[in-house]
Amino acid sequence: MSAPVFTVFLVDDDAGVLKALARRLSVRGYEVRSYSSPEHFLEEHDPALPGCAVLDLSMPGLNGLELQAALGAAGAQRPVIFLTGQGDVPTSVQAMKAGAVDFLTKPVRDEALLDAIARAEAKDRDGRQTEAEMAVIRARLATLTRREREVLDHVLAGRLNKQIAWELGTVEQTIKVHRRRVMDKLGVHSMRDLMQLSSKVGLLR
Amino acid sequence: VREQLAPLSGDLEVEYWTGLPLDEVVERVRHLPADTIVLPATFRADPSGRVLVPNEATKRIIDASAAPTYSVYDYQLGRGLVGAYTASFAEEGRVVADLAADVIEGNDLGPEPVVRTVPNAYRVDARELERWGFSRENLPPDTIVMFEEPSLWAEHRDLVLAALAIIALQSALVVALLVQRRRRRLAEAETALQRREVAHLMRVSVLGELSGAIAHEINQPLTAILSNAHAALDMVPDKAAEFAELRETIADIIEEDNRAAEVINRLRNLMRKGTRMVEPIDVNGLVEATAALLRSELIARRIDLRTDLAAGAPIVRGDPVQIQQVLLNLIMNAMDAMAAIPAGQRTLTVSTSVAADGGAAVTVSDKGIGLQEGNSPFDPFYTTKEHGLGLGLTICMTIVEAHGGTLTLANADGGGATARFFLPRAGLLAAAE
Repeated sequence: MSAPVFTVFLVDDDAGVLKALARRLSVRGYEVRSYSSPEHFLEEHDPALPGCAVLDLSMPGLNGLELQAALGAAGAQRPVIFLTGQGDVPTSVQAMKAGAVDFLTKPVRDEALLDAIARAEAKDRDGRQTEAEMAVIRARLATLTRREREVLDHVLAGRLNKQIAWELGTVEQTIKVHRRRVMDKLGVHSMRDLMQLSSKVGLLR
Repeated sequence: VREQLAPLSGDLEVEYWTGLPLDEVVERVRHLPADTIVLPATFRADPSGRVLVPNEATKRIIDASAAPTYSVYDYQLGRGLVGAYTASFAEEGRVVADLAADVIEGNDLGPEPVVRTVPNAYRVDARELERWGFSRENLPPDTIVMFEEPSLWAEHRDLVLAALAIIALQSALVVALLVQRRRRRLAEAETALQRREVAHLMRVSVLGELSGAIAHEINQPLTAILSNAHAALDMVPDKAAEFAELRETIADIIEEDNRAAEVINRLRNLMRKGTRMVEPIDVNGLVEATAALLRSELIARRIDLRTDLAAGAPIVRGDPVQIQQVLLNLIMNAMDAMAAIPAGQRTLTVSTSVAADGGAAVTVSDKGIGLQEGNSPFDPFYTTKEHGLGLGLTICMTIVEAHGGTLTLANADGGGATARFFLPRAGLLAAAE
């Protein structure tokens, strides 16, 4: 009935901050999960849940940047917002390059935090949507026969039917049939749609 | 004796003690008043008929007497007698012996009867003069002073000289050691002071190093407070009038939290180490931020800080942290200069203006004791402060010059000192630290 719940994963070694931030975001309607240690967070982390991570930059054990890297290494596309008590320019640049949504200095202004979380939510939603689309496309690609896949690769390489027929040792009419079947299986109706779809899953270079 | 003393009877009261037993005489002289003298004659016998040896009898009287004793015989001299007017028996003996020798040798002594006399003379015992406290100046001329005790100087001249030399040397040594010890004490005290200064400086610099961590530690609770307050504000029903005051209270908490964060932020910026930045600086804003940073210190020192900021909002290029350091240093100097004047007169004015070339001029004026003659206040390690390092103005000068500006310091006409620095519009940043 409502949109899937968006979860904010809070990681901060300061219990007071953790509790206060959790309360603040809960009041705003977010599902909040709090972790006082980065290791604990990594253990319990479920990449399938929509949400974003709000990480303290300086924590004992893994610091925020290392935690961000560990998330990436685990294949999670979790949007990350950093909080820091002592923001310096090089660290923030590093964090942003690694894909952070924002880098906020404590005590973080309310609007700034909510705005960053809103952007993270959008990013997460977009990411998941793309991911879902890609999953569909990959499934459709998997239904192509070996010959159909060969024809697709040649088409994406920009070759004409005649050239492809010659390459594959067959006639142009056969290639036309293969192309029609590829378009049907992938659910596209024009060459333009085919190119777009292929680009999404990285078939087009 | 009576004959001799008769002419003096008007000036002197003379008592003749005759026919008394020796013991009685001895007892009487023992109690004589101080303004009397005793002139013992010859005792040969007591009234009782006891035979006395005159010499010994006289000696008893002399020894017992509370008054000075004199005699007409010189042989008692040296035995307690103060003096005598007499010829010497020894001298008389010598004269008679000479005469006898002349007779024996058959010398012609002439037809006249031979009379040879020995003249009387005043003779005094030096030791007795000393004992009775008589001054030699009152002695008749040609008085023969006998029993003079040879002075130490006459007897052991070399020894005395040597002893004096040794004493002098030792005294000099003692004085030298005392001076040395005093100097060492002073040096030690100074060293201890410097050590304390260095220790303090180290603590301050460690504090500076830790400023980031301290800011972090303070920002954590500030973060918690801020988030809690925002959460609370969200929980309070928006429109209900009875919660208006509660909303206001929470809003105040948020505002105060932000203010605390701002203070921490300013401090952290000031303490930040690292690369120099070149960016546009709003000089008026910098003055205001610095004044805010010093607010409680100014109140504690009862100083009235007034700012007179240029309407044109001068903007220069440079490192805001360094320029703030200059400003902070000049204001702190002005505050120190006013420590000794009455609280009501401690006025400090910071004014900014747009310079002719478009740069900024900042003036810090105080009503303090002013500059002292002599050394330049810009000399490194020159300080008039008890605990100063003497580096503040030197560093200020270096910073201002690195920004292509000038810094001057002068006594003001109405008392106190005025520091003024100019920063050109396009700050040139030379390599200076």
